[in-house]
Amino acid sequence: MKLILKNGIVYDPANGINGEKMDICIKDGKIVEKVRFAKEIDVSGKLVMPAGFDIHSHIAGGKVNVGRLFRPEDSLRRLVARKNGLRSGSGYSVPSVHLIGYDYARMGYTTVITPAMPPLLARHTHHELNEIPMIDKAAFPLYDGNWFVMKYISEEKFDELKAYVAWLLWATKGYSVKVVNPGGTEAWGWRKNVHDLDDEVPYFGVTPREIITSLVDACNDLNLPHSVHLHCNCLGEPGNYEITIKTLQLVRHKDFDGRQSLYVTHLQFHSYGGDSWKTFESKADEVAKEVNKNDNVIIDTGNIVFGDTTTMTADAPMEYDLHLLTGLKWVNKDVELETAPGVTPYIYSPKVLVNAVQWAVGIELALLIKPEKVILTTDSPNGGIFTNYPKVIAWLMSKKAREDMLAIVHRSTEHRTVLPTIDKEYDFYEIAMITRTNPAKAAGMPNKGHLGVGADADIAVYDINPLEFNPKDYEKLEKALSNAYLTIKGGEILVREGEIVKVTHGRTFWVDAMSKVDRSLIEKDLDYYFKRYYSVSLSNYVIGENELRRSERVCVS
Amino acid sequence: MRELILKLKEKPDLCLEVEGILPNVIVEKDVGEIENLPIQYGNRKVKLSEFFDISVEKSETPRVVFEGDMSRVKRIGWKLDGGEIIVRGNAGMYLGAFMSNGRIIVEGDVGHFSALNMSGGEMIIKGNAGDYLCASYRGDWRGMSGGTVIVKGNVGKELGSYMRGGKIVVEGIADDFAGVSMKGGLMVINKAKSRPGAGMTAGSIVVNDVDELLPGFFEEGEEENPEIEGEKFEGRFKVFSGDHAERKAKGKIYLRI
Ligand SMILES: [Zn+2]
Repeated sequence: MKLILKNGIVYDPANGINGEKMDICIKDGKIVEKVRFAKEIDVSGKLVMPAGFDIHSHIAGGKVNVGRLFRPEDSLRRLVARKNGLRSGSGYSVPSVHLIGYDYARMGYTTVITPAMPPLLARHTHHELNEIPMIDKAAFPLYDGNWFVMKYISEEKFDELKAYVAWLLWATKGYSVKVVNPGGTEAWGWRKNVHDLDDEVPYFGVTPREIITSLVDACNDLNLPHSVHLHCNCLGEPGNYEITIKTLQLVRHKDFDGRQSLYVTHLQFHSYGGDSWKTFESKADEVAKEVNKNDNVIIDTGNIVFGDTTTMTADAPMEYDLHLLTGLKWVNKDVELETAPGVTPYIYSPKVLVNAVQWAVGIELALLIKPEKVILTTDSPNGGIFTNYPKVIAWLMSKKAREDMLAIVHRSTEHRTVLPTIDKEYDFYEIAMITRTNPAKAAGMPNKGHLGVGADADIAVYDINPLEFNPKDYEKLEKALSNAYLTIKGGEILVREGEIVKVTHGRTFWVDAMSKVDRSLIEKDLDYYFKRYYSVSLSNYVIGENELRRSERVCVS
Repeated sequence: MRELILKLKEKPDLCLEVEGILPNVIVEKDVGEIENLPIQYGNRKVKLSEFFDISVEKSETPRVVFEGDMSRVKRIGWKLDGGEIIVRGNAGMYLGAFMSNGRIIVEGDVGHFSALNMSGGEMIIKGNAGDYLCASYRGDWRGMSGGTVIVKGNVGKELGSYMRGGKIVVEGIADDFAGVSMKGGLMVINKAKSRPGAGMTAGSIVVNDVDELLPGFFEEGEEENPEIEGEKFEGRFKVFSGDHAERKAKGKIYLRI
């Protein structure tokens, strides 16, 4: 199919295009220089960007499904009937499988990565991903509480570690190395947690510092497209900004020829000062300073949005603490030899000071860190479901939007944060960076997140004229960004004026680095661990490529 | 004002769902429009007139009257926010669920999940009620918050689970776990079977007789003509606090002696 988008106002930071009126030509699913005899669509006066790229959103897998199962009241809150060939569904903070694809497409997003796949539940995760329509996707398997990882680190067997990292990506059809509360999830099995980079994990004796740095080096040695994707220790705890800064500093000198060496996720939950809930305050400025200084790190924000949501992380001790705090229902999962997720509902209230500070921290980080190092997420659904992105963008682009919210939130917020003193307002170029360019680049997907020749023709057009945009009209912006005028994926029009006109199924990206390692190094250990400890056999554990609806194997060179 | 009388033609094979047939919605409509209102029959939509004979009379308040055995008619008065619904017969599941205002009177028995998450208004049930009367919706920790429900007969299990406010009166027997996880409001029960108030942290349950109290309830003494949740009660009561299986539990059970 050939297509020309005429006269749109284009923002494509990867190619330095900042609000230029130009045509975009599409042929065979790719962006091309020129195209003849193509269908033309006039998008003059409309905002044109690469399609959205969400690098961290919990859309599939064990805990997402647990969230659905144990929150029928959340399902009741949003019921969607079958209509125009679209499937029915339900769920507000944990939408059912098909709705996730529809909702992303309506927002102009076409690539989403689910960031915490317990390896043992990879099959379930892929089966769910297979059914999510509209988007391209990938999954990050969890390496944090993994017995192989900790064994090889404690025995200082780096080649074996690398072989295992590559093998697990291959076995689970995963994309990159996710690390959640390193050491903490295994310690949780002993009813403990870790609170410092040098706390030892029971039995294995390794520390968070060793786990992080070993895996960072392994990812680099294997030349994986994405770096370690890290959820730091002490999530959500007052005063945790110190361990966050120490963690960021671990890679200050790990300069891998301009590649990022560490990706730190939902930084908002890790930038708190104070020593108790009473003295809880923002340390976003301190953390932002470290991120800005540190060339080897990139972050996503993990903004929170007020309202009712379902928290789900592979950080089981944190979810337990949260449940103790709220008294609300809670589910814990233990994934043998690998990790331990938890799920509990949470309500962010603007009148609760801690929540108001959290809201401010997320925005402060986005405003204080250089936009080329920022990626916008809500750690969906932990900080709020992803359909709230337009709202978060409005807060970044409009000081008025922030002031209107500051007028509603707990009035001590202004003493606990610096948000009221920040005048910066994002422009569309920077928004395109933090929702398109940066996540695609950080994930190492060269054909995504930009509109240069050869890129995937994944494009979003919004019915708002960026050249005439007044930040005070932020409600109009929110509306425009929530309902894409056009969502084009692989050259096909999926959404027109906010309505889905075509249902497709995207590809699942996974990384094959087996050519870089010697599998025989770990063969014996695999055999032993699976026979001795796992409840499944090794042959049943491995996901076949034929189990993915549309497999996109990324071979590492 | 008008009163709409809906006479069930015959008991349907599948369940009907009549959500949307509310006094405030139909009061201004003409009969032709009302006949065409959609209701759910199994997995398809049908016209109201397919299952009901419809007639209209004058009345002081907007009112819908259901005549016949409605035990296979679900969601009568779902999200009722005003006016009156009268059921001359039995009612099916989800009667008056999520109602916030108005009144429902049922001459017969009602199905499970009636008055679910009720936040206001009044319901009078002259027969028996099923399980989960006045309970919270499945999974929700925010249950009934207001309104009054009176049952002349017996009620099923988990009456008023997660109740936060309002009042429930049961003149017959309440099955096991009445007031489970209750966090507020008042429940007056003639006789409770096993374990009323399990996991309750606030609110009060007044009972004349009970089969079995949980060990999480501590005897606090006796009271004469106590005031409970702002209401005067006559007689002597043994007072229990609980359920101390929960943190900071301030629930009360008053057992008549
Ligand atoms: Zn996350």
